[in-house]
Amino acid sequence: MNLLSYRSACALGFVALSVRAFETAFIDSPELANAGWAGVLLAGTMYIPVLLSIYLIIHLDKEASPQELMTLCIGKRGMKAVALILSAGMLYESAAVSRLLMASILYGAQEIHITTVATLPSLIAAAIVACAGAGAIGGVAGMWIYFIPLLLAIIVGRHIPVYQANYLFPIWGAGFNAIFFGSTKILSAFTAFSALWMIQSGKQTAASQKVTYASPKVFLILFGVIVLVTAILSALVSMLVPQSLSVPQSREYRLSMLLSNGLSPTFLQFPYVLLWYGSLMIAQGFALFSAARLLTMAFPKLRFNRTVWGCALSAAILAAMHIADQNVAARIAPYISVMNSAPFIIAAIAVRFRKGGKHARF
Amino acid sequence: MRVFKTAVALVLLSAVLSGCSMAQQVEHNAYVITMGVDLNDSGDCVISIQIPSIAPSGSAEGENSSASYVISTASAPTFSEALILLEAVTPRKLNYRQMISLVASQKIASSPLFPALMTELMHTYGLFGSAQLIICAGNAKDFLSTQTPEIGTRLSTSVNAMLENYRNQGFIPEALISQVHYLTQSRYSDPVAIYAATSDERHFRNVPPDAVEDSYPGSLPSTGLAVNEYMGAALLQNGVMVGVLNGTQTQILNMILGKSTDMTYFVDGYTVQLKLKKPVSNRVDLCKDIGKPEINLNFDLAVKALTVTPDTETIRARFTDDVVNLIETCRLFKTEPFGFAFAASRQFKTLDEWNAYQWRESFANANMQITVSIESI
Repeated sequence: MNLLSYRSACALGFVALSVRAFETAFIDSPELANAGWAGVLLAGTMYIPVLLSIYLIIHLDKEASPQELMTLCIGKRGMKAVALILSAGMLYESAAVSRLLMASILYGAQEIHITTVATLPSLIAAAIVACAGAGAIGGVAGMWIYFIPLLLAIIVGRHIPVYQANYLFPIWGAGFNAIFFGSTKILSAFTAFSALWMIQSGKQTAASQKVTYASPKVFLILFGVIVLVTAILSALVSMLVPQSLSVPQSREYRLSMLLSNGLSPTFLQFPYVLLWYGSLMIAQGFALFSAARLLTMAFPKLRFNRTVWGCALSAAILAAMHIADQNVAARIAPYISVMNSAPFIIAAIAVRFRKGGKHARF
Repeated sequence: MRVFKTAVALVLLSAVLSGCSMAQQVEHNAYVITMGVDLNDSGDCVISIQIPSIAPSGSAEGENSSASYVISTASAPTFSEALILLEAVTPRKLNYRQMISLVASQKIASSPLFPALMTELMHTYGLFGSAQLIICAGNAKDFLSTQTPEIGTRLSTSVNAMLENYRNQGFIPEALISQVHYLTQSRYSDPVAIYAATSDERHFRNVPPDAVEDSYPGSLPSTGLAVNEYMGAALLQNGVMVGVLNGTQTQILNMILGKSTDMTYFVDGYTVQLKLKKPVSNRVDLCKDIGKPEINLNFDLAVKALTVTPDTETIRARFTDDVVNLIETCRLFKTEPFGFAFAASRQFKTLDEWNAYQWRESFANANMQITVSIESI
């Protein structure tokens, strides 16, 4: 099956999950005020049980793919059910990213009305790359990840003289309730990690054709890095604007706060936009690829390319509906988080009760 | 079959070419260099915009502030309506991405409408938040009319260079409209705006200065290239203008805010250069008396005389008096532009606790401890 190598998965996961988590923390969660970093850390902490479950599942057989491991834990039907659930979650994620890209285009194009057809170009581009397979989607992320430190160095470096650490205080912003509510939204971005783990093979084939297998710790470290980098970036951006809860804060207003806060010079617009759109496009590709890959995992008879285009069309339709609106996405987020997380905790527990116990094999 | 697939792929790919339709011609846009807002006698909001005509002089439509800049005006009961009317009557699409400054008349800046106007402005599509907020004594449209590129041919470059020059000398604050808006919406220190006026014989403030830096704009005893004078800061409270600082007060304010490290200072007829040896430190202690914080402000200065060095103790005493005078002026107007609120907010855990503390009232009652040490170099 067309699965990502674990190194490609690391690159793809880092780019896709960190940009989505950052976007959720800063753009979609104005109630967090300048405590977005706390929301990110709390969301990361809330995902730990799932992470540990995945860690335990990997320990069953370090050379087996996630699909095989989940079959071991909960049986073939259970594995397919999990794949179907994750696919639905990633399909919705694909629609949500499309809407976010559309909001970004709206901000950049200075248009008040943009038809939802504007979601199509990014979906089409993502579908074309996804059809090229795991190598393509992983390769894009693998190349993009070399640009990120350079772009971040320019952006952060230029802002160093103007960062105001004072803007982070009071340290807990609007309080624990707001941080908890915001973190449930950020968690839905982090739980895409579950889908990422499912669509990678757990191994890497080097140029010499030698196969290496991912250590279980790789995924723990990857997730930790994603959470830490996202929290740091959220804190840094919060240091450009004092905390404010009193004005209506749409996505355009928050994007303006990110890009046009007066302290960001004009020349930074280019690296900002490059980083933003590039990372979001990769997140779009990841969501679409994983939705299609997981669907073919659930229904192996489906042809992958057709599944990709079917998912792209479904995501476009979803993106055009109210269900993908920012406020609806916020309400659905906790359910998406549970949907993406619970199967793995159940699987990690269930494996102990399967016939044969811990010695059970395929 | 392969040809069919190729054709379908090409048709689908063409959908991503929609970005090409967004190309904008320079001549199809009206780039707003400066926007002026005012309140007329009927209480209507008057918006004036200064745009380059990109046309030979003498052929531009509308009133000319200079050979190549045009001013258009619209008035309506609210800012949004006036902006829509302006967009409807301007023959090109208004583009705010090159806006250098927002000039608000003192009349509208002092009215309760001003904070809402700033919020509406911040929600205006395409507005780049680094335009400077200037509050002028008098009519904003007249201020725009007298705004010309004194040196060079481009107004945008001229205004930017001029403001940077005055800011480097400390006579005006940095007042980005986005930062002013965010500070107004937040519950911390109050923002300040640049204070300016058109020089004329009537002298809006008519204050005879003891020294140049104690002057206010509009009454500076000089003539020169610039008709508009920029000196001092407009104090804002909850987004409404409540008072003005003169040149010296603004220089000291900039030092406290960390925006400048030196200033020219006049003592008993002597001119000296004061330079901060390290950033002004402030410490806010809320623990001793509820509602009566203790604020410690420490200036560590080096003085360099341009001619004869006066007694450092005299300079220290005079400077301390000026700092006290500045703080009392702000307390009188119930505004706190020094950034002390940020130091105080560190001692609270949540925004609710901070809001409940009523910082502005507490600052008015605060016990100030000002320490100024001066070393001659």
